[in-house]
Amino acid sequence: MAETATGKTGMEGEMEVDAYRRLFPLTFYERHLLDSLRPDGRPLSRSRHTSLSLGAVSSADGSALVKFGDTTMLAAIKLEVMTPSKESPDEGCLGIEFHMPPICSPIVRPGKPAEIAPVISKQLEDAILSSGLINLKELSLISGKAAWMTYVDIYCLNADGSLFDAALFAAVAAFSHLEIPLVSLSEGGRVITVSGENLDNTAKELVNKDKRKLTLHSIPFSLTCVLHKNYILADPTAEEESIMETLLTVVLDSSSQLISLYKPGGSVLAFKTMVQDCISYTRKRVKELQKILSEALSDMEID
Amino acid sequence: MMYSDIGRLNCNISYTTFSTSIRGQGSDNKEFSAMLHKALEGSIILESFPKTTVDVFALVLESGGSDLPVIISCASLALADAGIMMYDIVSSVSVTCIGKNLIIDPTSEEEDHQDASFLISCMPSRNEVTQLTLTGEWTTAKVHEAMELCIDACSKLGDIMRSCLKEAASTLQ
Repeated sequence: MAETATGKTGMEGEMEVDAYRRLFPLTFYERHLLDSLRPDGRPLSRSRHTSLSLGAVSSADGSALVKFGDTTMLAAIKLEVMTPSKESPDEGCLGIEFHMPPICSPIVRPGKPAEIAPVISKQLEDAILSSGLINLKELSLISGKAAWMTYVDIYCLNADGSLFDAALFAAVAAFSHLEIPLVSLSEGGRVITVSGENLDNTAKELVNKDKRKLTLHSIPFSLTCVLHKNYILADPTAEEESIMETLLTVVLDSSSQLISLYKPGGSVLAFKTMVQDCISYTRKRVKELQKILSEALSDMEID
Repeated sequence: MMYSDIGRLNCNISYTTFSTSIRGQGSDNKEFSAMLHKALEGSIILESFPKTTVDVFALVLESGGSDLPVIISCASLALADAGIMMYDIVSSVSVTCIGKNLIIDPTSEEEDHQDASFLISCMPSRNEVTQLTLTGEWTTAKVHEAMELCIDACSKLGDIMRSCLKEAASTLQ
């Protein structure tokens, strides 16, 4: 073992950094971790630069584009009128889907979809539904007759790690950008959407004039960490995720209540202190994300 | 797969579920993918990368009309950005004919009311056409008019694309 270690250091001198990084990724990373600095210059607990722009898709009712470093997510919400089910006549419905098209990563090809996509889809659905972000009763238009079917589609445009975190933030931001379209009752008792242009010449009664925004209760935010030996790396890139395979994702709401915690296996066993550290990192991250979201929303109001 | 002396080009176009006004309508794209392939094929020096495949994936985020010409021009820019050897960049423009009027770069609404359409992809600095599609009813005079309009627009678009590439290259340095 000692021999191989020295062998590596011997080769390292002659080898270019890039080649070394590819051939011995773990050793490369461990050397950086000793200095508490990651190859991209981040301290271990720092997340990548995060940006958010609202209203990126004009054909949707609400949308958001999120970037965590190179990871890019586009979330858009479309509302359609539907007849509510008999069991819950005054509730709308929520459909959340996460897509990874071939452009997002070299490992995804047409006919060879990413295995992780449906997993993230389910996790997003769980996090959003169990946090109580949306009150499904608010999606009702006329009890027993009409309600909103809410389609939330999140597309990963560039996959570079921490996909769940970016997707959740994009979805949440799209919800806060969402503006419910106006609907009116036609003579036959059907609910039709009214677009902005012919608003003036419709004398018909609008069903939802005062209710154009959803009240968002406890908003969920998350942070994924990579665990390796005793190190915790927040907001990992795709490279970090592939080299150090133990991931831990914490989802907290805006008042720091725990919504969910995923640790899908991995070789590192998470001790209590490690989990606690991850949660406290997430708390800090929640504050950052909240600030970014509220800044983007107030910028929108000025415009 | 058989050994091949020349490179292979593979194109795929997909639409997001929210790209069209009614959700999930824009999924029919096999035909578009084939059209994209044919529009680009002639511009790439396939001999420069034997036994290699170049994948061109396009994702339409929002569809507002003239989708295919935008995709073709965009894909050609992406190929240039990737450093793929090409004879020239491909710029593409479409024209819609409604009644007696020719409308360049039509929106979805205009496309819905079209009587005929004309799409051209060309390599502006070589003055070569890689793809030309005509649908609907055309008179010879109208075709000539549309052709001139499009060729002119293609060369203007080509200039803009070229300057974009230059800008991107200079910011890299």
